[in-house]
Amino acid sequence: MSIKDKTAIVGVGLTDYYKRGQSGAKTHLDLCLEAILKACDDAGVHPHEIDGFSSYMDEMNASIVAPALGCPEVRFSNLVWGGGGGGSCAAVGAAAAAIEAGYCDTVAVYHGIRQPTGLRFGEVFARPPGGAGTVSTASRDFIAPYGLMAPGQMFALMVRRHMHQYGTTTDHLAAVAMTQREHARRNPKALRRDPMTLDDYYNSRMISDPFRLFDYCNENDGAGAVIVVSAERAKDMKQKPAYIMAVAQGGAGRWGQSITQQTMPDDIYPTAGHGQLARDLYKMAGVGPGDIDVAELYDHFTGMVLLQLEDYGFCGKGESGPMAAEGGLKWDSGKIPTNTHGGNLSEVYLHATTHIVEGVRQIRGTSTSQVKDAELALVTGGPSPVPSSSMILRG
Amino acid sequence: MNQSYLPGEIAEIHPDELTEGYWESCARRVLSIQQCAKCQTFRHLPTPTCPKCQSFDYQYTPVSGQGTVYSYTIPHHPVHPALRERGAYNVIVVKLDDAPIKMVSNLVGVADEDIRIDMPVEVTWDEPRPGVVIPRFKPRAV
Repeated sequence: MSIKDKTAIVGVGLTDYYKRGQSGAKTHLDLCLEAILKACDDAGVHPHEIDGFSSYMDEMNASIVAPALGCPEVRFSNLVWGGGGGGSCAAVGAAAAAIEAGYCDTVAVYHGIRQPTGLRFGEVFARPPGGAGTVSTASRDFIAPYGLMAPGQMFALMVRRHMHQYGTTTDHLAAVAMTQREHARRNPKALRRDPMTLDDYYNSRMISDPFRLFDYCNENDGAGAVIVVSAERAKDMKQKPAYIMAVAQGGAGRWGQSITQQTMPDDIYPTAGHGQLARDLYKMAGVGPGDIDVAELYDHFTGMVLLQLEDYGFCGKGESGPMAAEGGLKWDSGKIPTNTHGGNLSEVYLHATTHIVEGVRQIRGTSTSQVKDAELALVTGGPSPVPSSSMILRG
Repeated sequence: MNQSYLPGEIAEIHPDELTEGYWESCARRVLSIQQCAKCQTFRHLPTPTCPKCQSFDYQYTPVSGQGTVYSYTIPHHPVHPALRERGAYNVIVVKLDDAPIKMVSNLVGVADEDIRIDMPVEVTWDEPRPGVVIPRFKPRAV
């Protein structure tokens, strides 16, 4: 038994994109509801049809959202553990599994960010512990006194090691940033659309060497949602279905909170931690990296795009930097068009909701950087404390 | 005069049942790593059970404090208010020689631009706030 091709994403919804702290009177709940309602409208589904709710790292649980929407019944709810945007595809996978298992029929998968009332993710370990995504006080003692307090610093350590082992350079990181900026420039909704030259990249201020400002994602507020139903039902609905071909979630058990503490074993230290996900995903889908037409890879930091390209087999270990520098990620000519919306780096940072939506757009043929005849789209959640996740959407 | 590598404001520690053995050893300026009492496997970050044999019995075992730099970053942007006046500093991941674990620290006694992966290092002790003794590392001659 498998969830392969049994369900589909039939509606997508995104709020407007706000700079961090600028969503005004719109609360976190407002943003989530707006995204869900837009997804319902896109799907041609009445909100009262929603009987399942699935999310990741979001305190807006079904007991808050369902009454606000007036849903008569809640038959399934799910929250994926893990950090940042890691659980995004796992939340979709849980929806698919719940529908296939007969728990429910129509699932809203949603996630919102409104940082002023929550936390600024870039300072997550500089704050008193206890909030979402923070580590315990006693474990924080092993990093905070050393000034290791931000995700960017942690991923910079991993990318530095990758540079040492494989010869990856900051020019390679720049290639990721510049390619995605070009994609964002084609996307009217993207927040960062100014051209970016190599000089611009190197002139952006150093944040945590080797990462400069342009290696970092945006900081934004907003929300995204998708509607998942059975494949059978999806056939006759308003939009072209994006069939959920395969989903994998989790990661190496010993990865755990390793990103925080940097205790990963040598063999997985300079990776995105997605090796097992890639294995399981391709196995469920019955396809390989050469079959994937477009990849929407979670990009909190440029370097983690490179490491995911390796984990998912688009190139060999250590070959992702040159691949990016040679134009391998470009939407119209690259070996594997990547982050065609501009990604977290240049479009908006809404914790992977936008990667799911862009994957659906590619399947529908409506991306602003549409890959010709895209049939299979890989979407990933953030390399983060386990569980992370990924999925393949099929047209 | 506070000569600590980083300000004491960020060095508050909160030992619990699991980590108090580590910090008690640090107070004596001895680096000790959690070790399974049954199968002798070292582990870090502290956990209640041994990841190899699942035993709940453990001790904190002194190690030489020698190791090598596994990776490093130079944070320039201060993410904590207490770091605003500090300027850039380094964070290193140390791989210990006699316990196969990695831990986070800082490298002192060397310019940031001279830090290299695989550099031999050894523990040195710092008291960034009264009563809090933490291990940092310094270059080691070989």
